[in-house]
Amino acid sequence: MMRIFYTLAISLVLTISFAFAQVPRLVHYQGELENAEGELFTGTTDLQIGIYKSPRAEKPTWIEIHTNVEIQNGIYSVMLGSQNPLKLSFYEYFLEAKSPDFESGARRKMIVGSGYNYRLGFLFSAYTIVWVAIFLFMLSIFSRQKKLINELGLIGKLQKEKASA
Amino acid sequence: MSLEKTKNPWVTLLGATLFIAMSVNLYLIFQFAPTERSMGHVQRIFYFHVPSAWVAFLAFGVVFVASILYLWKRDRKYNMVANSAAEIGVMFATLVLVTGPIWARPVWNTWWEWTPRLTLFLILWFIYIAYLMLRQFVDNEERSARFCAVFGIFGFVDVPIVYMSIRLWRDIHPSPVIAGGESSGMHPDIRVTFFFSLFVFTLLFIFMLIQRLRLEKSVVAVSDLKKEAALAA
Repeated sequence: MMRIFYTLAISLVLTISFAFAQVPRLVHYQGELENAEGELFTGTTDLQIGIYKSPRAEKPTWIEIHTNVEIQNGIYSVMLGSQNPLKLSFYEYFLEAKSPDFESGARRKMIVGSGYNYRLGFLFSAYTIVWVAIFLFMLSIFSRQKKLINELGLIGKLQKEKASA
Repeated sequence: MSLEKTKNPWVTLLGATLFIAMSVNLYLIFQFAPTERSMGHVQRIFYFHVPSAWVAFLAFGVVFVASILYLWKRDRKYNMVANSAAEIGVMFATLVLVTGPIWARPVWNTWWEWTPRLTLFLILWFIYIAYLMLRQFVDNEERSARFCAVFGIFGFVDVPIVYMSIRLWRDIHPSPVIAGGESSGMHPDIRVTFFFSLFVFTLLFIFMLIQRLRLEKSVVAVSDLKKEAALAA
């Protein structure tokens, strides 16, 4: 029974992971491309969007390139995750946009989780709590049962010893 | 009474059916059911919050019936059923109290409100926590079973009150979606997912009750053996 239970639990975890992997993780982002002097770029260019854990982190956690992005008065609009899947479990990160056609100020801006991600976090927490609680409850039943079987074996052994004495 | 070591093919079949049903349920919840317009993805909590409440009510109903039967027949097996069902009921009631606020925070912008439905459900949870504590505090098995049977019968009175509370009083809690009048109802895909979730959680309750009952029988068997050994000594 224990083996069946563990197989069931592991399969369930894998299924949950599969289900969450299927949820589209796209975040609409609108930013501003300006240089160190505060001048805004207008035109069409390629944008390299990087996400960093801190304003000074050297290595980006995630990166994607958007080609031929139209920018008006510095304002650009991209769908993060459309080129490279977003697999970040975050609420606060720093975004940096770079263009080969424009010497940007490269100031990183803090981005916060959108309502979509925020609410998905609540759903995920609730779902995890439900199944972990059920799993632990079943595990406690099986472990108590095992303990009782051991206890029963001990009582039987004592009875045998007494009978032989 | 002996420990049940032999495998029951029906229980194994139930376990396998449960596993398949749970996998299908996952697919329905996260893929098939449409995203609710105003609440978004967080509404999907509904598919395990409501079935958890249903299982808690069902478990407390089993406690109620088993308690009546115990007082009537004085057969300890009914006491064992009541104890097992109460434990499962408390676990699912706890899940309702945890998943409810997780849903409420993004939707109501508050974790908790002292409204009739929420308050009465919290009282229900306390009643059955007290029920389980009562079992621990009374040493004599027969007396403990009798007290708990009486407690189990009176404790159940809160269940229909909790259920009817959103119909009887003004409440922030969502209105009933089943048999709730003209304005109630669900999208057909949501309805399929919801009723399937209820079915899966009911199966889960049956499976858990069988396992918990098996444990209860083992506890009683070991306790009887210990008593016999003590008497022999």
